[in-house]
Amino acid sequence: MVKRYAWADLSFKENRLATIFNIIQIALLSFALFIFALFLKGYSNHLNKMFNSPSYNRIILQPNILAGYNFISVNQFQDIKKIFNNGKGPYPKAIIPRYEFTKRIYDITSNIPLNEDIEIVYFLTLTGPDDPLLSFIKNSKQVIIHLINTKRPIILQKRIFKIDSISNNHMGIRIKLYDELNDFKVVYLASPEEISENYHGYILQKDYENYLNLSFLHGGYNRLEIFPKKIDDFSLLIKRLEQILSNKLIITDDTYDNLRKIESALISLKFIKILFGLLLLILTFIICLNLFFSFRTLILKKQKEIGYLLSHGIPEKSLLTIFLLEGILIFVLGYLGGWIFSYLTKYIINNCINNLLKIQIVFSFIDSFNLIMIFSFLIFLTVIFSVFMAVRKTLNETLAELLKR
Amino acid sequence: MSKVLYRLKNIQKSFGEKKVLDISYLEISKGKFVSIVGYSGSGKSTLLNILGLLDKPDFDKRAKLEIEINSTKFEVSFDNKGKWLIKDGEKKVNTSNFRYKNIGFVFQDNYLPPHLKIDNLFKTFYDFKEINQKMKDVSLPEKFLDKYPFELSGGEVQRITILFAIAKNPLILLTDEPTSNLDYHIGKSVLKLFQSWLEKGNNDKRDKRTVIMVSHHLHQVCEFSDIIILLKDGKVIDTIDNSKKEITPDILTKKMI
Repeated sequence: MVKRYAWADLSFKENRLATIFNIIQIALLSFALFIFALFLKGYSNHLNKMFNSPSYNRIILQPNILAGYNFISVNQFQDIKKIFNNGKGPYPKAIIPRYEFTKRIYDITSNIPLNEDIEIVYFLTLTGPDDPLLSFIKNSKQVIIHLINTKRPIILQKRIFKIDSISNNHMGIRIKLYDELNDFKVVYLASPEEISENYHGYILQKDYENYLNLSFLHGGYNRLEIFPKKIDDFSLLIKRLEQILSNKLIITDDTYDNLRKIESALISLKFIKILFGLLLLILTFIICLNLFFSFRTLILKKQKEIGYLLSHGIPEKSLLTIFLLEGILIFVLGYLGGWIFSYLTKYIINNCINNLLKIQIVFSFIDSFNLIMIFSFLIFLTVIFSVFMAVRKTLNETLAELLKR
Repeated sequence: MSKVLYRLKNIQKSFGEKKVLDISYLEISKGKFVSIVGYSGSGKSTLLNILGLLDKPDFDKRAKLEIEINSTKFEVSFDNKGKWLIKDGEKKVNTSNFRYKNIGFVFQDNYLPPHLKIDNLFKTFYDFKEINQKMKDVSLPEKFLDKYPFELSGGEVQRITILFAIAKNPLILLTDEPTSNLDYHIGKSVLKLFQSWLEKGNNDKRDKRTVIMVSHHLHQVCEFSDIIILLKDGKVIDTIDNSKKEITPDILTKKMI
C-alpha cells in the first residue's frame, strides 16, 4: 500500500544538512577509529613480530672453554631438549649444532634423497675453504635460501636460486646465483662473519630432529642456538638453562640484553594503547551522544508530517522501517566514507611515506579487526536505538497532538 | 443497511481541568453533508478529531463510539497501551488500514509536507496513473504534480489536499475549516467539490459517502449542508435537518445564542 521510497525522499530532503552532518560525523569517527587501529595495532604488531622473529629472538650457547669444557655433550643437549619438552614447546623452535653439524652435513645430505634441491639449513656455516658444505653446494643445481634480514625481520623471503658458479678462498666465498624468476644474476661475495651478521638460515624443527638423531652426530656440539617463540619466554628459559648447565656454558649473544630495553618499549606501547583507547572511547561516546540527539531531533521535527501521513493511513510499522532504513543508510554511507579515507591513508603511508622515511612498517587493518568491529557496532547500535526511541515517542502521542506541531 | 454512520454515547474530552466536549448521545447519518458549527472553543474540532480517530476521548466505561460501514458495526475503544482498538465483533481491525480505507481528511491549515513534491506525495499512497485523471477532475493541471507545495497558491494547495484525501476513495470525508483561508469564490468552489464527490458516491456499490465539516462560515454551511450540528460549551444543543436548504445564518445564530 505504501511506497516507501517517496517517504525516504521526504525524510532526506527536509533535513539535507543535518543528514550530511550525520554522515560526516560517522565518517570522521570511523576514520579516526580505522586510523587509530591501523597505527597502534600496526606498530605494536610490527614490534612484536620484529622481536619475536627468529633472527632477534635467539640465545647462542657455547661451551665455556675457560671452565675446561670443550663440547656440549649429547646428554646435555638431551637435557636442554627436556626443558623444552617439559615446557610443552614454547622454546624449541630450533636447535642448531654449528661446526660439528657443518663438518658432517655433506655426509648427511648425501644419505637423504634431497641432493639436488635442498633447503640450506645454515648457509653461513662455512668453516673455511675446505668446508665440505662448499662441495655440496657446488654439486647442487639449485639452492632454496630462506633469508631473514635482521634489519627488516618481518620480511621472510624464500627464494630459489640456480647456482651459476661458486669459488672460495680463505677470506670468504663468492657465489654467483641465477634468479630464474627475475631473470638476473647475483654475485654474492662475503666472508662468513659478514654474512652471519646479516643473515640467518631457518629450518623446520622436524628437519633438525632428523639430522640430530643420526648416530654420527652424537660426538657433541660446540655451539647451540635456541629460538624461543616469544620475547617473554627469555627470562624463564635462561633461568632453566642455568639450573642444569651451571657455568659450563656461556651465553654469547647480547640480543637478550637488548631485548630488556625493547621490553620496556613494549610496556610503553601498552600504556599508549590504553591511553589512546580511552581517548577513542570518549570520542565515540561524544559522537554517539550527538548522533542520538541528532537523529532524535530529526524525527521529532517531522512529527507534523508523521501525523499527517498516519492520519491518511500510513502504517506505523512502515514509519519505523523507513526511519530505520534512513539511519542505516546514513551509517553505511558515513562508515564507508571513513573506511575509504582511511584505506587511502593506509595506502599513502605504506607506499609513499614508508619508502621515503624508511619506516619499514607494513600497516594492515586485518590485525585490528576486532577493535574496529566493536566500536562500529557501538555506533550502529546508537543509530538504531535513537531512531527507535524517537519513533516510539512520536507514536505514543495522539495524531491530533502531532498535527498541532 | 442502517442509515447511521456514527453513534456516540457519553463521549467526553478534557484538557486538564477543562472539559471541552461532553456528548451524551449523538448520531450522524450516512450519505449527508454534515456541518458542525459553534463558537470558538465549543469543541467542534475536538469532536471531528474523535470522529476521525485522531484524538482519544477521556476514559469512561460508559463511553461508546460506533462506526457502521457496509453493514459492519465497528466498535472503537483503546487497549492497555492507549492505542486505538477497532473491533468488528470479536475481530480486531488494523487502525491504519481502517483509516486508509474509510476516512479522508482535509485539515484547517491546508497542510502538505513541505519538502515533498506533489507527485511523490501521491506516489506514497496511490497508483500514479489514476492521479493524472483525478487532477483533471479537480481542475488542476498535471504540471502541478512536479511542484512543491510552496510553489502553489492557497486555493491550489487546498484542491491538492482535497484530492489527496479523496483519491483513495474513502467513505467518510472529515474536513476542519476547509475554507477559512480562502476567499468567498474559491471557498465556494471547494465546497462544490465536496458536494460533487458526495453525489458521485450514490453510484458507488459500497455504502453512501458522507462529508463532515467544521466551519465558521454560516452562509456556506446553510447553502451546502444537509444536517447541521450545533455545539455550545462542548455539548450538542441541536441537530438541524437542512435537506431543503431552508435554514439561514440568522436562524443559526439565534439558535447558537
